[in-house]
Amino acid sequence: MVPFDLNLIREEVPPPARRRMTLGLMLAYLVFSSGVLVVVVYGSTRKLVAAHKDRVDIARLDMNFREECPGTGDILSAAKQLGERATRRVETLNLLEDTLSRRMDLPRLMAGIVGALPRTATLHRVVLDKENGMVRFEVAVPADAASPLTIDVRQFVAAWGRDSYLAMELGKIRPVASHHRQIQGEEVLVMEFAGTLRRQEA
Amino acid sequence: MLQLPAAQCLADWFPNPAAGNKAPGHQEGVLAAVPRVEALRHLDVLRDADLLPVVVDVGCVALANLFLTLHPEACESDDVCLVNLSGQMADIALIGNGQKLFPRIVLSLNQTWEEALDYLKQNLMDVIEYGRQRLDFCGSPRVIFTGDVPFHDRLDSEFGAGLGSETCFWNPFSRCLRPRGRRAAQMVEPGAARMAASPGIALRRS
Repeated sequence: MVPFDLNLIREEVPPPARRRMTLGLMLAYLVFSSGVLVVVVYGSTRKLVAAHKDRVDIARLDMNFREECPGTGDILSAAKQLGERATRRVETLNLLEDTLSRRMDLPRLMAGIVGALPRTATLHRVVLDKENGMVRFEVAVPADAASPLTIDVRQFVAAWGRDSYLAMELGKIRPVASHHRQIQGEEVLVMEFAGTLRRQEA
Repeated sequence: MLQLPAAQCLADWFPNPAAGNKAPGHQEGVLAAVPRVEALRHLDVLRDADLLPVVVDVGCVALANLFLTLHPEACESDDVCLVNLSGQMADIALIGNGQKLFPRIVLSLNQTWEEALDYLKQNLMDVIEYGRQRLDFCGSPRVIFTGDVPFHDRLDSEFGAGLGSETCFWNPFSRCLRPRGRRAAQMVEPGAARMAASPGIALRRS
């Protein structure tokens, strides 16, 4: 501390405490900025090293690919061609799946028809008439068992109407005709039914 | 004498505590003022050099601070009159008991101090007499010359008898530095005292 304190610019410059605070803040900012810079440079360096390593790996894989698959160009163009081919096949599979989903499931249809039949009746013939949008089928019952007491056609039709798949695929199933016929030396009563297809297959 | 509005001046002051007990409410001190434009021009030069000026002091006050810092014992018993000579200017600082200060600046525009010894002597006598009569300084302080003093080897013969005081030459660097290197040797040469006011300003921190 000097004995005679004279400063003509006492009001012009910040006091020492304020200068110290400003300097401290600048120092803290410098340290913070340096820290951020170090982190950013570290991150960038790691990314550069990783990118360089990727390039080396790609070059090595490309060389191996050219040795193992000569005539297919480089690995990137081959990968691109394979990708395009896979895309086309996926599109084909999607079309196929779409087609299959719209195709009628005949085993399920037949199971629905047979499920409603009594034990003595058999499904004799199923005809899918796409041109007329119809399904025709015949149910054979031994002639000796075909009495109105044992065979109730309305029960068949009602049971088929309750079957969800049959209801989805076919309109109301109606009896068309019935007649006796000899099948494998046995006389049976053949009842013919028909149902309208609800949707047309592609 | 500055004939400028207060707004166009830079000014500061300090009280002389030992001289403030004459009457209730009466206080004496030193007031320094300079034209603001002139001072700011010098400060701008420093700022252009990427420096931050924080203190503007008066040469003789800085010199007194330096002397009291280096030789605190010198003012305990006697008053001291410091005289710092430069080309055309003499900074005079009359220090009493290390507590009060009476500064004065004397100019010799047409003659060197070697040629104006009588003028310098007369001004010193005026300062000492004014201090004795008005400011309660003693009448025979030690007169210590520093700065550019070409007659430093014959101070006693030139001033001793006229002033009635002991005279000597003071080079502040002779005590601070040991002449080991070439630069240090130059510093302790008598000419190095020309920079006597500079370390006095360097003592300041705020």
